[in-house]
Amino acid sequence: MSSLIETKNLKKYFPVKSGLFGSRNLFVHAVDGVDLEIKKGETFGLAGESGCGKSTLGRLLLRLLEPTQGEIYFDGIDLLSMDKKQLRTLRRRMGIVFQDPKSSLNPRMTIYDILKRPLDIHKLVKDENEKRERIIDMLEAVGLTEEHLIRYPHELSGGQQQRVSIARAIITHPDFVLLDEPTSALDISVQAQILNLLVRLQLELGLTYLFISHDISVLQYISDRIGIMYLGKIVEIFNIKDFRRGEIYHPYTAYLLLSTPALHPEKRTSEQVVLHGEVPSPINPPSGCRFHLRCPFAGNECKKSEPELVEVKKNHYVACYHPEQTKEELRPLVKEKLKMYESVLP
Amino acid sequence: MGVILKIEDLYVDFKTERGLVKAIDGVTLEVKEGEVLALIGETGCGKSTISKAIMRLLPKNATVRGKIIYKGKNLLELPESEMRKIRGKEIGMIFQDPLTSLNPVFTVSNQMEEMFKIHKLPTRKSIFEEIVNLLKIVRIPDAESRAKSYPFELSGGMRQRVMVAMMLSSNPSLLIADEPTTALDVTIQAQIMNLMLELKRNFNTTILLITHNPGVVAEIADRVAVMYAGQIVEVAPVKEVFDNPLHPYTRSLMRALPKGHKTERELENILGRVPNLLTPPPGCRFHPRCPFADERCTGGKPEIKEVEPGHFVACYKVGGTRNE
Repeated sequence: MSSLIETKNLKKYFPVKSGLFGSRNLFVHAVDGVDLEIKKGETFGLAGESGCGKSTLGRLLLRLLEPTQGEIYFDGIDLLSMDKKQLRTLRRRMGIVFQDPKSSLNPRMTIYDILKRPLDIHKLVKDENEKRERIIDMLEAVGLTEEHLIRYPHELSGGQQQRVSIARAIITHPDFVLLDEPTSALDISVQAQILNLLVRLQLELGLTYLFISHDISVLQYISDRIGIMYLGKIVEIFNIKDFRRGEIYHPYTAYLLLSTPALHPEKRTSEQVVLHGEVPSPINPPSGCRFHLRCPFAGNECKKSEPELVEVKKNHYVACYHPEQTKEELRPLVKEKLKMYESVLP
Repeated sequence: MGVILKIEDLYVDFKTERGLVKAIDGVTLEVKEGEVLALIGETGCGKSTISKAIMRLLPKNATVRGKIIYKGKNLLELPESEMRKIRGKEIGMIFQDPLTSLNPVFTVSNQMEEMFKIHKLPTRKSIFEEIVNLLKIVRIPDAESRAKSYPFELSGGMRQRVMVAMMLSSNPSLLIADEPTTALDVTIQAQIMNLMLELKRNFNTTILLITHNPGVVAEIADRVAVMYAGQIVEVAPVKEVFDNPLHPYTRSLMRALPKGHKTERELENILGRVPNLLTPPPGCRFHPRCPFADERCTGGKPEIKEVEPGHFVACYKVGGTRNE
């Protein structure tokens, strides 16, 4: 499979003022050297805790933010060399869906107007009747009907609003859709509907997804490959098969899974495996491996130098000095926890 | 185990410009001493309305009928002066967003001091030492300097710990935790859930946990009450709810959890949407979305009945759910 998106050493620092009268210039290291490849037709899941930089990384990929350093390629095209006009043309091929549908839909526009805008901006359809047809087709594809056209966002439920957001993202027939926590604000039953919809649309339209979420359970259901982020860095990338077999090489990935609320009362998080402490400040990340302050396997080398992301086995990348030890020691716990994804009711 | 809190035939209506919202429709529920009872339901099902009704914190446009009996006393009939002694002291509460429940202009120790003063709590040492000690119990690192911090200087997890510590100061018999971990990251969420389990173990605190997250329920609940559109549809031990749900709504909810992989299974779709409580459907409020519904379900509201020991369901078609 060829890649649709590729980044090299991508960085984004946000300046923050501090000190008396803003005298000192500090930087939030939101994304701090990311090499990422998203393959055509796959769902790449990106997980991490709040503030780890996952949303910033997503926005960089569409160049909605200007990177501080690094390279981004979209279908082989160097995104950073493009001017505004070229970028705008290319954006037809990219869609985005945000977490909170209420604030991402214009409250003063009808659903019809909301869906018409991308068509107008990209001048995709000239004829008004044809436009209307395409909009109705799209509404039906996301499980809404023609009668929703004249409604305003506030008249719809959260799930229906998210369906409109999805319709807006795919109405230009994009190749790539960035899904930034698209189900986090929704109830479980509505989340299930939206996940089913996204899976179906991907199959029908051949879409490539970057699915950003803090919820490992959702990602393990929908993703083909998963990347784990911690303090601006990707610490592990693996495919879903390795995950299912409990082949986890980075301690943070393992603890993230072990801390995830059990989906079954017999697979409760045991108190010994709770990760202590909190995520350090991204303004002044710890030296060496950024995780070493919370890591049970940390040795001297982890404090001194930062481990590179290396291929530990085929298509499995990890940035850790103790991958084998992590895998061996945490595997029994990990495998036990993973069983919570199996007990589906008949 | 004794019953610490009993809710009997509770009705809550809200008067609004658009009409009467029938938010709670005849809820009966027992919370047993020393247990963690989870009240689970989706947005707008009325779970937070119940917690506010218990604390008597509902807004003025609410009318409440029924009984809420706490240790033999009907809270709904107590004079406000008596209720004030129970609120915060006998019954503690923590909320979803600790930033809005802490006063931003007072330090942590200032606001904790208030608890000691209002409820005239006994202290062995100085109040400040007592506060530092409580902060240590909830594992706040560097407790002495943290006690002097303002809420904005603390992280979300730390703020929630302060709320728990504040609640601990009065050593309540019952803790109502309304979505206590929803705003937190999973690793912090796990820490707070462990803290709640410690409370239960060390102080025998009874916990009424209100949440929309089945994962949190699976983690710490002993028993579960499932709510739908203002009614309780099922009450059972936690394992039963996950392995043997008998109400069609509970069953669909369990099948909607993201288990398995997209290549193996589709998640359960519950058709339709939650009803508008201005005009709730007659009879069982779930019937318009229920695959098993027939004329009976549209007629009268099903009573909640014990169908297996300790397992209560409000459904005419329990047999059907089980056999299908």
